[in-house]
Amino acid sequence: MSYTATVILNVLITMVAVISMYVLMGLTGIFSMGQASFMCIGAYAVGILATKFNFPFLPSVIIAISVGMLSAFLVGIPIMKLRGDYVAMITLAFGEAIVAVLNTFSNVTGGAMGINRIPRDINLPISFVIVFLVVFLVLNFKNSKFGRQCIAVKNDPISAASMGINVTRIKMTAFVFSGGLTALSGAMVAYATSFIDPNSFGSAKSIEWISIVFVGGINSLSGSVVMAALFSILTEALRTASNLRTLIQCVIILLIINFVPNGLFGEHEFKDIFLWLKKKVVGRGRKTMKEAEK
Amino acid sequence: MKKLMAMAMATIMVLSLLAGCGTNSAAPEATQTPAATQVPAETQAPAESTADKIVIGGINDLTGSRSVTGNAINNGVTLAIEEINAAGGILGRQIEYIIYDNKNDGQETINAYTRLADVDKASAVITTDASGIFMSLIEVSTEKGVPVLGMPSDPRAVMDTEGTGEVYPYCFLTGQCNAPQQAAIIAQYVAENTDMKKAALFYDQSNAYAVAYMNGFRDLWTSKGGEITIEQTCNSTDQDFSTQLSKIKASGAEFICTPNPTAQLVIMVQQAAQLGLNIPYVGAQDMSDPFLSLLDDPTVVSKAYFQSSVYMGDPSLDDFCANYEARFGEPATIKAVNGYDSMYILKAAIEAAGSDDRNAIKNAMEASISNLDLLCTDSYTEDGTTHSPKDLGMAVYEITDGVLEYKDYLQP
Amino acid sequence: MTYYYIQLIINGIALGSVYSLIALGFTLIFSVLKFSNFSHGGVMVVSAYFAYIVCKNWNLGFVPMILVTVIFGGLLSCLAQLIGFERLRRTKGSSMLFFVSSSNLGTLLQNIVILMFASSYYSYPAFFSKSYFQITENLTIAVTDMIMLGLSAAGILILMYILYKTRMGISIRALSMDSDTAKLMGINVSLVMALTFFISGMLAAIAGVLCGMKFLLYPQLKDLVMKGMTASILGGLGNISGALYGGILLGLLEVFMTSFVGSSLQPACTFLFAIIFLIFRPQGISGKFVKEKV
Repeated sequence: MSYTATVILNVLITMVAVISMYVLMGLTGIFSMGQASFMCIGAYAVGILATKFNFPFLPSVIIAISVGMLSAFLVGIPIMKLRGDYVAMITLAFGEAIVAVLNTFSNVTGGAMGINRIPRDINLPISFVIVFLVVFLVLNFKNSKFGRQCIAVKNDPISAASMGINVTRIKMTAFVFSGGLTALSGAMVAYATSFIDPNSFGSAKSIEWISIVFVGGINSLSGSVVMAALFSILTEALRTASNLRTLIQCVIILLIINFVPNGLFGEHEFKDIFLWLKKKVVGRGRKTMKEAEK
Repeated sequence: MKKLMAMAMATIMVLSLLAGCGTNSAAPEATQTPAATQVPAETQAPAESTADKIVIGGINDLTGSRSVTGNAINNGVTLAIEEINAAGGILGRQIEYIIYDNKNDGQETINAYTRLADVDKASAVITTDASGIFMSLIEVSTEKGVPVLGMPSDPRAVMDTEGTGEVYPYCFLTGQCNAPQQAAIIAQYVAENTDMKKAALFYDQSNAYAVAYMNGFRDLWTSKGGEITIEQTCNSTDQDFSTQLSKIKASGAEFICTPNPTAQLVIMVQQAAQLGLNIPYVGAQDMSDPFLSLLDDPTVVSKAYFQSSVYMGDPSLDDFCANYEARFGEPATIKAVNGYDSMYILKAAIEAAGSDDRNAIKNAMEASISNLDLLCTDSYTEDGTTHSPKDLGMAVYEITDGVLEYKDYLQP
Repeated sequence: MTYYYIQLIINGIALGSVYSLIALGFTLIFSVLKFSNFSHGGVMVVSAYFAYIVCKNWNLGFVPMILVTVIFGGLLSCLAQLIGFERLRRTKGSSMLFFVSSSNLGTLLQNIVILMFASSYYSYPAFFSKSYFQITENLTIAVTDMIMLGLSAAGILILMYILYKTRMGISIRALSMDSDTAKLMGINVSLVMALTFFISGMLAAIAGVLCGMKFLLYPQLKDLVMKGMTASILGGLGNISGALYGGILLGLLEVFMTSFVGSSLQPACTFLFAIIFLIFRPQGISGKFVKEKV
């Protein structure tokens, strides 16, 4: 794969991960600092299936997603009733627990040495299809009854509950859905890198995704998608800055957070921008026609 | 107003990124032409400045969780390149060193490598000592064909040890022997020179090097008739080892074998002293400088044996250490020596290849690296069949009451 | 064997006192601004390295060194507040924005340290002639641990005094309840906020230096703030005395888990325990809820 293809693939993977974070944070307001552990679960599911059992692409990805959703469900049962910061702490601890488990059962997982030589079965068309499917799904989720309930829960859980919304169930749905999406991105990582080890899925990754969601605009799926792309490309563009790279990224995020606190897209989607543009253009057109009539 | 500002911001970012992409995609074309017409270019009158430079890539963890070792390796390579350039370069051409940060992450490493291969047209890449990170390059290096030199101690990094036993064509271990060999050296020394029999193993299970080292040590120690009383593990984020040490103390072990990184060693030794556990240690490279100077009281290490590719106090290293400190303002460490040596090995390979062609360098790495005079040894040979150093031994040291003493030079 | 368990308890409390000290400054900010301040870790690391420079260049003793560093830490924390949070506070950003801002600030500060002290480990000169006390033949306790425990306890008492007995403390508490009303009551909100951050920075500096003494100086010391966060949640988020209990509970938990199930699975067991604990006692040990910002 050429450099451009690798970068684009990376962009697509980050997009899926950030979209999953968007479902959690942007839609439902669940604060998960261990979301990358679901990526780890997805990657390991694929790693084990593909290297030990020679599973082909599609079945392993589907199993990876199911495992991700199942583990999100199990983690979610006890914590979805708790307050936001508790969820952050428990998911963080869950991330550490997963790493410890992967390191301990080294006969299955390869331990600290990781899993090597996973077939690089992924290519750009497949990834594009995956991203389109994910965007389509999430967009529909957002506009469905569930999505609106999610936003209600985020904005004010108490009044949402008083309107008859089952807050815990809504949170759970979002958590499981997003766990599946993150696991999907993990499966893509495993196929793209051909090597996975437990240490590359730390909380720093989750925090980076959270930052991207906020910089993109907390209520905007378009914002998350665009910022995920911009950010992965920015990371590549800044590669030449070697050890200053992380510093520059932090400064950029700080500037955006401070000066555009609603994020680049705010609450808007691409649709709104098109509508706005259309109104401008068409409106102007009508005006000129009226003037001409006069 | 806010909307306008957001839109303006978005446009600016998109534009700047487009500009960034523009230069990226333009870069290969710009360098491609000179690269293709390289040999004639040398004979031509002043060509473009990039044409007569040899591009060497570097990938190290500069800002992530292993930033200390990553920066040390990078500094070592940088120093070597500056020396080589000051002395006229390689084959009369200057070296351009391009270093990328990988944050200790496999995906980042692959991206950086691909960029070095496709955009920067690097002739070879010098990278990390982290085995896991190095292993993420196996597939992509076979595809791109840019030789990778690194210090991964896990033998699986350069060779398919579990399967066919083939070496990965473009992956090379340079500057030090692999972890099982290191463990063999020290196990042999301890078995032959001391009367200790009962070992306690204590290692960081999230560290691939420590795990590989332990596997080697366990096999060799038991085959030499030694006994292992207890095995204890820790995780890389742990800060407290007193529980494990208490268990080791209760197990009646005669010494602790621990290949953990320096930061963990310091904490462990001090906590052991506090628990009244006055026990000999057997360890790895990480016990070399600055380990003793980091202890509040170095005499808490009453006895320790460890192996290291080089003795930092060796007079032959004085120049290197002085130059390093003058250049970077920090004392040199063993990882810096590894990086520095790897660059000189690469220099020898390029000279033997006679060009900066990737395959020629790869072939030269396999066939013509022999008897180099480096910091770690004065006759360094790279084995083409294993892609690892051939017969490279390690110096064995003994610490007695906080004083370091050179003992022997052993081969695995 | 009893000695073994008593020693375990001592070790647990010693480790817990580290977590408590970190949790203390963390909790102070949480109780006022209602967000998890991850820049706390960054202030810790920078202060710890600052203390190293001070020691190396001026050869100060322990007490003067701590005093200089504490003032530095306080100022640094104020600076962080000015850069990262002041603007957000005025524009009334959501608490998640504060979190994103703080985690990026933390990484920024850590990277400054990495840039300056990149390639080697450092340690302070030995301040005490004896680094541990022998209680009986089989029981020992480290000097740094005792200092930490003492300082955590003293810090809590001083904080309690400031918060509940002084005019400034009343302003801080008023601010934590309702900043608009507090402003109407004639409280200089910016000044009180700066003071709060100054105190929290001082605590971070003490924690940083003592961690540097107990462990070693390296940039990844920043990640200890995660343990501080866990401790403050177990103790009851936003509750000052809860920081002490939570820290010690976490320390004991880790030490005993390591002893009983081994270090390899300790994070997994700690995770399970934390879940069970929070299900039965979601308000934490100290048992008072601090209202989340709505």
